[in-house]
Amino acid sequence: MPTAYKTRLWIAYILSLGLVHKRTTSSHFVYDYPTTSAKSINRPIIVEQNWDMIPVDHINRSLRVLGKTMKDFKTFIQSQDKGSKK
Amino acid sequence: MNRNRTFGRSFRYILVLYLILHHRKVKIMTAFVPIIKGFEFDISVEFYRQGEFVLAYSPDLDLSSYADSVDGAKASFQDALSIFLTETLEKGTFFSELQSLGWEIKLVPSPEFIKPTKRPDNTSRSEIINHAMIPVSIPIHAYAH
Repeated sequence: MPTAYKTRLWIAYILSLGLVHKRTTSSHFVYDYPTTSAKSINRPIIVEQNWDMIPVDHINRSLRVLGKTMKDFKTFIQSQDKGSKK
Repeated sequence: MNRNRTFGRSFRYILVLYLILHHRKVKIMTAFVPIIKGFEFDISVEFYRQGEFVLAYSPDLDLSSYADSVDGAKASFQDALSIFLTETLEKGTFFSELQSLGWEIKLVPSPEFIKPTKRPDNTSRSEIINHAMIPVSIPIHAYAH
């Protein structure tokens, strides 16, 4: 089992859920649902911009905030892989 | 007659004095408000390794950040904490978020933040490298939400 995933994959996943980049604060990207969205989360999703990879535990915590599971994220990764192979 | 006049004058003096003091008291009270900037409590942060990263994780807030060293993770966590506080206070979700994590918040008679006893992720870290206590400051205007 991998201990980290690519940051760009994680960002692609949260963007696919409808989150948008809200702002960048001291090397951290802050993502949240737009104010016009019917969905909302209590806290923003924070991504470190300095690293190409994100540790699994950090992803798991963010998934909890989004009400998603690692299985959902893996399904997304697989769909991305299939798309790139076509 | 003179007695009545003296009494009336004294009463007037007392009334004026009361109004002045009352006015000053109100001014003094408002002058004290900016001194109370907010309320503080500490959160525990643990540092552990996962692959090439060092994670800084606070079970109290279910908040984490990461870097390639303990110092880097601590600095990154401070930034993440600041973002968490700013965003949740701005959205008005700070207290509901704490309550969902199991915090007990008492505002009366004095503000008190009682930490949750249960960890949010139910995992035990076998390789914790370091521990730290980080102060959290909540501005007084946050209570308006």
